[in-house]
Amino acid sequence: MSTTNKPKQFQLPRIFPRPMGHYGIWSWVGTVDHKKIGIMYGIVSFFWFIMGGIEALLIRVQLSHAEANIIDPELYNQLFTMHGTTMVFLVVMPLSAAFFNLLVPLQIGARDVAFPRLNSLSLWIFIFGSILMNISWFTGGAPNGGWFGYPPNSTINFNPGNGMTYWVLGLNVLGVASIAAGLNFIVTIINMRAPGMSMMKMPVFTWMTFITSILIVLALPILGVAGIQMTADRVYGTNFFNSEAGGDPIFWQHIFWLFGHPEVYILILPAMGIVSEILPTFARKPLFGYSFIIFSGAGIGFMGWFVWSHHMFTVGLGPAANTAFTISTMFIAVPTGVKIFNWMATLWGGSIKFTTAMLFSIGFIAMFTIGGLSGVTHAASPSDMQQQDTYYVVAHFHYVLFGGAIFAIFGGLFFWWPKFFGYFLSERLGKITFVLMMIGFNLQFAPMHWLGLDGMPRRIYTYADDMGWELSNLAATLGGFIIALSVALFMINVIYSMRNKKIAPGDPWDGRTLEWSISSPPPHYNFAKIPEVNHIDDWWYKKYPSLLEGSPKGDLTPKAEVEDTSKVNEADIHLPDLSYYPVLIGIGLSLAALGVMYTYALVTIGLILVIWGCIGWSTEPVNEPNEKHH
Amino acid sequence: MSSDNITVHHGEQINNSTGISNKKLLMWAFLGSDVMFFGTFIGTFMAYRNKSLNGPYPSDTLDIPITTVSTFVLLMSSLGIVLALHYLKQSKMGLAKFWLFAVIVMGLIFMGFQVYEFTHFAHIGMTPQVNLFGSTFFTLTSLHGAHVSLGILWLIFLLYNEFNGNLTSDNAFDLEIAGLYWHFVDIVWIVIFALLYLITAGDGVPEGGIPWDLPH
Amino acid sequence: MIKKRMKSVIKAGIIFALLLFAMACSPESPQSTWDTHGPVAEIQKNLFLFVFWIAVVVFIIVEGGIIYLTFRYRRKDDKLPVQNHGNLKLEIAWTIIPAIIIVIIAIPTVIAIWDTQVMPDEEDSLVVEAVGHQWWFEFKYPTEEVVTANELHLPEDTDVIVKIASQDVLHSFWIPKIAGKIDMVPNHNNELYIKADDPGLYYGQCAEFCGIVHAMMRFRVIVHTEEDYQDWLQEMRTPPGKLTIGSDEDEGRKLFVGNCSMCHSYDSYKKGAYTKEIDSQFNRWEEWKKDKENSAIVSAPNLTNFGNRITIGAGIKENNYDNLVKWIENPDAIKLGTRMKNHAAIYKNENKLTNEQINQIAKYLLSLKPSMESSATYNK
Repeated sequence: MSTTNKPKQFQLPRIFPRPMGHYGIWSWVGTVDHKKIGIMYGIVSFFWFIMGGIEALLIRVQLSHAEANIIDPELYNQLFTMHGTTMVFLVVMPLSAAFFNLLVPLQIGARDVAFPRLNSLSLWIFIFGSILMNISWFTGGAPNGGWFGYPPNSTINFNPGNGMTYWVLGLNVLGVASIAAGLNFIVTIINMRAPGMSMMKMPVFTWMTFITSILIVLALPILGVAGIQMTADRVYGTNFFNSEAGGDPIFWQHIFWLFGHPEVYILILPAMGIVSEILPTFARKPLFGYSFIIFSGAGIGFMGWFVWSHHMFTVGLGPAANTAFTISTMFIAVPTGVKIFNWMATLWGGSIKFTTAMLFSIGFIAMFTIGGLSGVTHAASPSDMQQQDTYYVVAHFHYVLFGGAIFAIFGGLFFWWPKFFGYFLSERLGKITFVLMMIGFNLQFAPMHWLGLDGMPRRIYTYADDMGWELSNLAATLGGFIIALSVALFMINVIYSMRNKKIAPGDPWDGRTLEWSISSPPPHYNFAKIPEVNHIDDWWYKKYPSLLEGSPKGDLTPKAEVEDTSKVNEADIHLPDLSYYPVLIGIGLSLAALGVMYTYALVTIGLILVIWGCIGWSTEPVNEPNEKHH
Repeated sequence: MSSDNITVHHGEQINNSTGISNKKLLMWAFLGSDVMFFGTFIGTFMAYRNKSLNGPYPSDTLDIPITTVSTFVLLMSSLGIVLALHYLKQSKMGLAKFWLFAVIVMGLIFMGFQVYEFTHFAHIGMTPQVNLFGSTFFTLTSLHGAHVSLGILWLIFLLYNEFNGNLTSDNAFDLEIAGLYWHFVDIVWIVIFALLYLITAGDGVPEGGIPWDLPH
Repeated sequence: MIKKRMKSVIKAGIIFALLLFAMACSPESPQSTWDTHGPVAEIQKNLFLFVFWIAVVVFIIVEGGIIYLTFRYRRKDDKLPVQNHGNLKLEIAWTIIPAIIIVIIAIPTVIAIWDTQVMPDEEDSLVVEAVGHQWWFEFKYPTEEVVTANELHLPEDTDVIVKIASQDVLHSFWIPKIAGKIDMVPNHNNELYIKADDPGLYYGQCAEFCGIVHAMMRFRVIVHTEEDYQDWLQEMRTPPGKLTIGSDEDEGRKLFVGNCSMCHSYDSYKKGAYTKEIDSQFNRWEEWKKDKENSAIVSAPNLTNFGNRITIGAGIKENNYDNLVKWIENPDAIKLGTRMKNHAAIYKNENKLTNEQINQIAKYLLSLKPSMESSATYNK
C-alpha cells in the first residue's frame, strides 16, 4: 500500500473502536460480509414470516364462522393490513434479498458485492424499519387502511391517529433499503463478474437478480414519492389526496400501482431464478432454453410497466383505458408461459430426484400456473368487474405469491442450506413439510376462488349467515392451520438438523454453478482463486468436460474438485473491514421517521446519527492500516 | 495469491468487467432511480395543474424574471464544476480550488433565491396547505432544494479535501462523480423551470370553474 | 413398491381435489355471480366461462404434463440423461401459440368491454343516483324526485344508468346478480349501466374497503314489474297513515322528531322534499366536517316509508321490532363504529332514552308506511 506520502485522511473520531474480529456477536453486527448479511436478512424475515402468519391465522379464525365476534372490526382491519404489508415488504422482498446476498457474489465468482458497507446499510435500515412499522401495535393501533392504503380512507380526515402514518413512513424507510440494495447488485453484476463470464454465461438466478434490481431501482422511488405525499398530507396538511381540496383519490392509485405492478414482478422473478437453478440440478440436465428464460424474464420486467391499471378496472377509467390495459395485461402471459414450458422441458427426458428442494420447485410450477391462469381471467376487464375486490383476487395472488414465491423460497432454503451452514436439513422432515404445505395451501386458497365468484368481497371482518360461504371459509381456516403446522415442522427441522449435523460436502448435489465449487460453508473470502469462466454452468463443465461435446459419453468421473483451502495463506487475501456506521444510519433513519410523528427532537437526533454515520463512513478507510489480518 | 487480493485502495477493484469504476456505475444507476423520483413529483404537479379549488394561483405568485436569474446561476455552476474537474485533472490546484469554491457559492446563491421565493410566497398567503398548487409546488421545489443542499455539502467536503491534499488528480474521479450528481440536479431544475415557470406560470383561475362536481 | 405408493398418492390427490370441487358446488349464494339476472352480468359471466374453459385446457396440459413428466422421468439409475439445451422451433411454437390464444381471448373481451361499459342514451333510460356514505347507500331518483336509502327499487327490463358518487371515502356499488361493480370515488362522476331481467330480490354490497365497518355496508335491490314499480313510486310520495294520539307510535313520533330527525329525514314524500333533502344532506355533512369529533349532526339515511324496508343498518339485519329496538339501543353492538353511536345526542349519558322510549320509537318507525287513503297522495 503506497499511501505513506499522503497526508493523514481526516477520520471522524470514534466513540467506539472499529469492530475488527470475525467471530462473536459483534462481528455480525458490524459485518460487511455478504454471506453474514444474507443470513441475517433470512433470520429477520423469517421472524416476520411467523408474525405475518399469525396475523393470517387470526384472520382465518375470525372468518371461520358467519357473524363471528372473536376479533372486532378495528383489530381485524389492522390484521389484514399488516398481514399484507408484512408479507410483501418484510418477508418476500427481504428473503429474496437474503438469496441475492448469499448467492450472487458466489455465482459470479467475486469475493463480495461492489459496496459491502452499502450492503450492510440495506440490511440495518430494513431491520430498524421493520421494527418501526411494528411499534405501531403498541402506540395506539397498527395501520388499518389495507396494504395499498387507498385515500381518502387513509387520509388524516378519515383515519386520525398515527397508525397509517407509521405505514407510510415505514414504507419509505424500507424503500431506501431496497433501492440501496438494488443499486449495489446492479453494479456488482455488471462490474464484478469473474474473467470470462459474459452476461449470457451468468447463472439464471443472477440474471433474475439483475432484472429485479433494475425494477427495484426504478419502481421504489415511485412508492417513495407516494409515501412522501401521503406523509405530507397526514402530518403537514398538504392536499395531495385531500378530496375536499380537489385532491384525486385515483391519483394515489395510479402512483401506487405504477410502483405496485413492477413490485409483483420484483416478488416473483427471484423465485423464478431459484427454481431455474434447482430444476436442472435434480433433473441432471441443463436448463432448457437458457436464453429464452432470460429474455422472457427481461420481457416480463419491461412489459410489467404497462399494465398497472388492471388493478383499477372498476375505478371508472372508461372503456378505452380498460381496453388498453386488458390487452397489455393479457400479453404478459406470453413470456410467463415461455418460462413454464421451458421448465417443463427441463424435466422432460431428465433423471429426476425428488429432493425436498425439487418437490418445492415442481410445486412452484404447478401452483404458479394456477395463479397465472386466474390472472388471465382477471385480465379480461368485464369479468374483472365481478372479480375485483372479492376473494377470487385473494386466491389469485396467494397462488402466485405463496404457491409461487414462498414455495420457491422454501425450495431454495433446502437447496442452499448445506452450502451456507455446512450441514443438510433433514430430507425426511422436509418432504413431510412439503406435503403438509401443499395440502394446507390448496385447502386454504382453492375455495377462495369460488367464494369470490359467489360474491364474497375481500377485507370484510364478517359475513351474513345466509350467504352459503361458511363451509368454504371453514375449510380455508383448516388449511391455514395445516400450513402453520408445516412451517412449525420446518422450524423443528432446522433445530433438529443443527443438533444432528449431517455434514455436507462442498458439492452435495453435483451442482452446476460456481457456488458449488467451494467448501460448505464457504471460506469468508469465497474463492481462494477467482475462477476463469468459459461456459454457462461453468462448474458443471469443469467437472465433466466431455459433456461439452453433447450427451454423456465415456467416463463421467469429475475432473475438478471443490477448492481445497488448506493451503491458502489468508494474510494474502484482504477483505473490507467491518463497520458500524451503516448500523448507526439504520438506527438514525428510523428514529427520524419516528420523530416525524412525535417530536422534532427525535427527528434531530435521528438526522444527527445519519449525518454522523455518513461522514464516518466516507472518512473511514475500507481497511484500517497496519491491522493484523485475522 | 496477492494478485487476488482485494485490499481496496480507494476506487480500485478486481473483476472489472466494463472498465467503468464501481462508483461511477453506482452514481449512474442512482441517477436513474432519481429520474423516477423527480418524474413522479413533476407528474403530480402536471396532473394537478388547474385543479386547485382556490387561489393563490401560479399567475399570482410565480415570478419568471427572478427565477430566470437563479436558473442561470445554477446553469453556470454546472459549467463551473466542469472547469473545476478539468483543472483538478491537470493538477492546477489553484484554479481547481477556485472553481470548486465558485460552484459552492453559486449553489448557495441558488438556494438563497429559493429561500427568498418561499418566504415571499408565505407572505402573500401561498403555503403548501392552501391548495393543490401550493402542495405540489412546494414539495417538488423543496425536494429539489434538498438535493442541491446535499450536493453543496458534498462539494464543501470535497473542497476541504482539496485543501488538505486528499483530493488530487489521482482520485479526480471522486469529483467527477459529484459532478455527475450536480449536473443531474441542474437538469432536473431546467425541467422544473420549463414546466412550472415557463409553461404553467400563466395559469390563473381554472377555466370552466371548479373542476370537480362536488356532491351536492 | 414405489409404484404402489405413487398410486395411493394419486388416489389421495384425486379425492382431495374432488373434495375441493364439491365445496365449489355448494348452493349458490344470494350474491353469486353465476346466477345472472341481467344482460351485463350475463355477458360478464359468459366471457369468464369462455376464458375459464381455455384456462382449463391449459391447466390440463401443464398440470397433467407435470404429473406425467415427474413419473416418466423419475431417477431410475445413475446414467446421465441426454443433455438437451433447447430447441428454437419449440420456443417459437410456445411463444406464438399462446399469443394466438391471447388474441382469441382478447377479441370477445374487447367487444364485451364496449358492450357493457358504454352508457345508453339518458332519454331512453331510467337515471338513478347512488351516493356512497360511510357505511350506507343513498339512492336518489332525480326525475321522479324520490330519495331513499339502502334499498334500490327498479323496474324490470329497463335500461338503468346509475350515476355514482361518494360523500366521503372510496366505496363500490355492486349487485353481483345484475352487473359487475363500479367504484364510488369522491370528486368523480362514474356511471354504471345495469338492467334487470326479471322481478325479484337481489343483494348488493360495498366492494371497496371503506373503513372500520365496511363489512356491513350492504343493500337490497327490489326489481318490480313496470306496474309495481310505478306503485312503489306513488307510495314514496304518500304520507303515512295518521297516528292515534297518545299511542306508542305517536309518542315515538315525538321522540323521533325531537332526537333523530335532524339527521334522519322521514318526510320526503312531501312536495319539494327531494331538493330539500339534497340540501339537508349537504349541510349536515358540512356541519360534521367542522367538528369531526363532537359534531351532533351528520348525514344519515333517509327513513321515509321505513316501515316497508326489508332490512335495517344497511342490509345487515331483518327489519323487525326486536332488531330495531336493539339497533336503537346500541348500534355499536350490531355495527361497530357507526356515526350514529358516535354523534347522536341520545348516546350521551345526559340524554339517554329509557327502554320504553326506545320501544316507542321502534314502533313509530315500523308504522311509517304509506297511508291507504287515496286522498293522501301528494302529486309530483
